[in-house]
Amino acid sequence: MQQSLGWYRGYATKNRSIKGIFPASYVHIKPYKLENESNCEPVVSVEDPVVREVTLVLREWNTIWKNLYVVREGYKFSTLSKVMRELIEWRRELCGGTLTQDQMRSLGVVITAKIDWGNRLV
Amino acid sequence: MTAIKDANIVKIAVEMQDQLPQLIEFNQKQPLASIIQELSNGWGLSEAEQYALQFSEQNNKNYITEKNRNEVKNGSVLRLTHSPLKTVADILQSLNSRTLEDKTESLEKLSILSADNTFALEFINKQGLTLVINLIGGGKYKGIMLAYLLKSFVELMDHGIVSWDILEVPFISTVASYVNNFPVQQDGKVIQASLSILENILVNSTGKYAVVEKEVAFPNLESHLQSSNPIIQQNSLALINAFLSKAQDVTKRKAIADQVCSTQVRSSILSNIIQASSGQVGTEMAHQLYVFQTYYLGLLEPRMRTKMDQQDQDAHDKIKELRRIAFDTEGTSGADSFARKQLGVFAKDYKKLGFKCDINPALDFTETPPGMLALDCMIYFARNQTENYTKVVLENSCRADEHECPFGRTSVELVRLLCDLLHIGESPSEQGHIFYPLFFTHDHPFEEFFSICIVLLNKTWKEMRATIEDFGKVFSVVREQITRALASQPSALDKFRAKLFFLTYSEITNLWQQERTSREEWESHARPIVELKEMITPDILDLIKQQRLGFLVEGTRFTKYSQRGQRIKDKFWYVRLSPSHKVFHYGDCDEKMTPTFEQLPNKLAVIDIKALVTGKECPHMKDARGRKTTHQLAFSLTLDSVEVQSLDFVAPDEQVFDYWTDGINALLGNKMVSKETENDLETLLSMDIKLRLLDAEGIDIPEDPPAVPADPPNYDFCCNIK
Repeated sequence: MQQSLGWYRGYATKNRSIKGIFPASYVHIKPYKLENESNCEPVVSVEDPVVREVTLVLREWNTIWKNLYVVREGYKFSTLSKVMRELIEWRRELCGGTLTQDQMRSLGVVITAKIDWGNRLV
Repeated sequence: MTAIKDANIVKIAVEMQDQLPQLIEFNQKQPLASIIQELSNGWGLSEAEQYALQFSEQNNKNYITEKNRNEVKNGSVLRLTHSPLKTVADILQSLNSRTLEDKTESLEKLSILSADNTFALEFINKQGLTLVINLIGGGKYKGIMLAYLLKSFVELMDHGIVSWDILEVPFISTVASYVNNFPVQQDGKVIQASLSILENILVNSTGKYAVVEKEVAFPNLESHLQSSNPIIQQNSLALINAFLSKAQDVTKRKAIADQVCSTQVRSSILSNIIQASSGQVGTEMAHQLYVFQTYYLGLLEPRMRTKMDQQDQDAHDKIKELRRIAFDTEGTSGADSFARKQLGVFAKDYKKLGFKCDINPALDFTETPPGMLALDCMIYFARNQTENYTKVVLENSCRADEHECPFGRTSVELVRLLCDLLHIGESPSEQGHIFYPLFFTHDHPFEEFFSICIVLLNKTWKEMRATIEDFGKVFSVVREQITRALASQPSALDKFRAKLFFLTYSEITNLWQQERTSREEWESHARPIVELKEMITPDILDLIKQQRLGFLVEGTRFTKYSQRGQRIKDKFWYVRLSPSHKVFHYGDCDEKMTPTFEQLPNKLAVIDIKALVTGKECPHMKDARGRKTTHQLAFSLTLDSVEVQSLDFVAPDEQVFDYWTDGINALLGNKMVSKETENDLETLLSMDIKLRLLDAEGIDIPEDPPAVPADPPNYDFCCNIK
């Protein structure tokens, strides 16, 4: 990411060929670390690995979940929906920064178990 | 043209003493002098230049000038009275006269009129202020006349026309003597005004501090705080605050503080002001209490900013005392403890006490803030609440796991947090009005406050099952607990303690959870989110459409109904949409079979459907009577064909009804309007929004989009590597 008076220049993390400039007032900078010190890109986010995992799983499940809707797998659809909401809530607790290390660890275990369970379902 | 003219004219009434009021049209474009001339003519007064107009509303008897005449509105009632010039001359003349009644009357008038800017300017121009100062400084006036004089002086000075620096020592001494009630007891109004004058001298003049300080006897200020007159109380506190704010250097402030922040002053404020009003003081008094509290707690600033000096024997002794109180039982003191020291047991004890540097705990007090204030608080806690102290220390030092709460480290951090929360070392703001009664209830309020909070911190630490890695998180909870308990303005330390007891860790998490939920609720209506929803909605509607058509392709078994809306027993028919979505296949069936397309002999092309009708508009429901539920589930496809005019359905339940009508509407290019569509849209949309916003977790979404800055001056974007 590069900057100039009130604007940032950058690319979409999902597709690096999409580049553009953005008003700085629309941008919230997250903690990050540089992968390569010599030039400024690419950067990696310093998220908790469990949080990152949950994000990936949720996005993957979203596609599956919508498909369950279309093919009217009513039971699976509502079960998965419930689990996804739970995961979103737990992920938020992890991000909130109010949990102690103990709580983070035990929540991490619960989440991993839930993800395994969900993966067997879908 | 007429409208503009009308806007300039207001209809008003003008009164005058001993005269019949006049109703006139007051033209804002006409000079005041000419209006007054006309009014004078009306009442047959000569010398119109000696008169002026005044507002007559009770609280605002100002003269009307060319500047403020816009405030004259339709229906205003004005008074015609002697002009400021004439009145000033009259008052000055009568002040020099002999009769007492005349003088008293003029002084009363003066004290009221002085608040008017026009009058004050005129009076000061005619040397009236100098006369007033001389009369006060002369010290000959007493009682009500003196009160009027002082009030006039305060009002005249309030316009800021004349500098406070003109006042001389004799004047200040005289005014101070009124405050001191010496040699004679003074009228309440005199004291009130005198206090205000002295405060203004301190605040507004330079180099008069020493004079005022020398002339005012502090014990008298304290006795004024006990006055039954709230204005006197308020003015005395304001004067005390002025002393504190103008004390130039630290030593000076300390010397003043020793006098004005004494136990007597503090308890006078507590019992006569705070408790007497049960905490409900006026805005100005609240401000003065806030200012006093700020200075009072501000006395801790020097300690907060002092690092521990490694040569400071007293401080080293305090650290040793902390160790001794916690670990030495009577049997192990004296010579034995010297021997233990040799063995390096002290360091072990310091580790148990939770210091960062167990070899030399003095290093724990080198950061400012909180500096030495932390040690002061710790030793206060250990000495005055020994039982709590040993409990806290021993509980943690005896734990074998990693969940111990280090007393030393957490105390230092807690004092830093308290200094921050209570804004210690910051000057009072002009608008501040939040004061905490509990700080007026003890001679060492901060240390007491700390003692309560350190116990709370330990309790919270345990509730959270925290480890040293969670240090910051525990403190964010503790900060929340203290802030919330303080916000309830507890009247005493005990009440504060009790309040904290209920604000447990789980209570705080609940409150945070609630706030987050309401925040989310609010955000779902924020513009950016609403726009995002609108953007996604077409995709979601497309999913719903696919789902409905899938349902139609699978088909449904319907019960047969007669033309008159009667159910025909044991007769069924089956309808399904072709996978190409172009043709409906239908035909009779029994109650169990699911026919294939080939088994359904009849066909209806989607293109031939004229319209979808539902409920009572269906041909087979027109004559139906009585049974309400049936027609709610009925729908018909009307056709253009001659042989079959319509295809009539009754769905087995509401969901099937909704799915079919949605599917048919989708095929016909209409909007899907069913309850099911609404629910599905909500379910799918809310999940989609949540997932899209995962990366924005914890960031507050603004109600409206922020402003877009001007285009960058150039497109030379560069990268900062730090």
